[in-house]
Amino acid sequence: MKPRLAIAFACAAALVPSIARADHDVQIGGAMAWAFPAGSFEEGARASDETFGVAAFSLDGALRVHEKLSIGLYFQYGIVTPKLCASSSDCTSSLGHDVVLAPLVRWRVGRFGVFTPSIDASIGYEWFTSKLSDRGVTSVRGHRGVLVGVDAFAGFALSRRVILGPTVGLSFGIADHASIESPGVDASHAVDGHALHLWPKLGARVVFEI
Amino acid sequence: MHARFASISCVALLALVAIDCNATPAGTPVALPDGSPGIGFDDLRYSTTLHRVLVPGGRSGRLDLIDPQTLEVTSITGFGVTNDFSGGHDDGPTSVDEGLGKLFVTDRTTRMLSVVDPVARSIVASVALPTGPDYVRFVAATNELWITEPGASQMEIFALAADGTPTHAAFIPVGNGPESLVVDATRGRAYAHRWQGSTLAFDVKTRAIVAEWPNGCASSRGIALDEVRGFLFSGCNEGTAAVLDVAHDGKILSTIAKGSGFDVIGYAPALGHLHLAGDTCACMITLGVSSSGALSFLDRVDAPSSTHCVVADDVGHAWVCDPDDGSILRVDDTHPSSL
Repeated sequence: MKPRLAIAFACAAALVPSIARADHDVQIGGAMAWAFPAGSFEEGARASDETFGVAAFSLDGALRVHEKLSIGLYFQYGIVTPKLCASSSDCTSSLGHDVVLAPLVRWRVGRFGVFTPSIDASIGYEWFTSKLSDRGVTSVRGHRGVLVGVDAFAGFALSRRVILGPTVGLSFGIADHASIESPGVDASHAVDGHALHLWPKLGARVVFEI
Repeated sequence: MHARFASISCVALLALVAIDCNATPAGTPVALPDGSPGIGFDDLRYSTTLHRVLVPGGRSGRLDLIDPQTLEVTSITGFGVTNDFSGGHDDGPTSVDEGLGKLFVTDRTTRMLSVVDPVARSIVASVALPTGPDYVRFVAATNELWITEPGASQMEIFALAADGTPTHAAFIPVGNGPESLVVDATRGRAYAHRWQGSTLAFDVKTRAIVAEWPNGCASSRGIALDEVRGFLFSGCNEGTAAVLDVAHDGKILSTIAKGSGFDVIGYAPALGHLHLAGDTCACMITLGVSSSGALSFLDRVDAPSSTHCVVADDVGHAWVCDPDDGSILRVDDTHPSSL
């Protein structure tokens, strides 16, 4: 973190004590993040072969079950950017998706003035598809399997019920199925040897407390 | 403590992202004459009669022949020369084939088809082409050369005289193509892709398109043939490879998707190994092809980030082009036969 930014956050924490408020039981969050591809979906098939990255839009809801713990659900719809498309219309048609659904556990680290950090751990399922559309002819590659994620949220209270801040995360996935849909082909099969793929993520998140 | 943890976390994340970025290409590089500015390679061939890898040297204006064992390079000059490397493969000689004891070379700078005597190492005849050529292939059954001219959506056919001199014979219109070309002497066919989605089968005697088959590709690129088994391979730019059964109306026997950015593909029929090299993945994928036409993943090695072409020889190597470096990499294929 840049020193000036850290000082600004510290000043905000000191000067705006009125924002500090009682804890709430329910949190509803939304985030936008960029996920970088790393690792492989299966033996010989790296995530970076298929995409420059994923623009991930997520929603989460969590219910407090302990002073510092909440449980909830995480949903992500990610737009998978293509690597090979040649024209703007082909590129638009070549957008894939990365859908994740996962139960989560949230550790609410504490409250330090307006600074309200939390860490989420989740384990769920991922459905990933990448596409190439070339003059209307499309090929789709798919992978699906278990995804484990850890996300750290550096939240700053903007009001009694709204928290905003940066989020950084890392998800680890192991695909168990792969598929191809292309001219003359509609195939789904177990992966060629399990491999680990990763999605380091960086983004911004807003949380509404109820 | 928190700052230190954050710093370590950031470095770890950056390292994870960088894992796929830093790689040294596999294989032994073979520098080609005048290759240092870069060479826009395209078609690569292996001559089983000359026992040489045939490398049209693009802007260098040379046809380079590489001994697969000693790596000795022999150059035949006289083709179009361009000093600067454009980054594509639009300059100089870019395709070659052999037949009748000669080599046939197409040149995109001069737009010429040349006949080369490999013993004398000289061009013995040339004829002008009406448009930019892509692939040249010798058709033994009709004693012809077929040249793809995708810019004009056509195949051009040249008849060969006894001394190998070519004379224009015909055009075959090919809408949305032709891309790549391979000749099936056993069945009297030639196969070429349309740019998207399908592969065409031509009767070499009637010069007619006799079949069109889905090929598993959104973006069709490379083609190769196991003539004995009747397996036609399509390599897709998006990273899919498919096996088509030419004896059963092009039925797709198997597909596999690894890597991406494939263009010119290579096949070693004695091993049943299919090689695909791509710039998007900066990799070369080797697949095994079983006697029933099933594809299996054998290996992935790092390749130059500008690569898009590969050919196999008959002594256990794959040859991967490195356009930015103006060189060819010899990669050992140590996998047992898949047949």
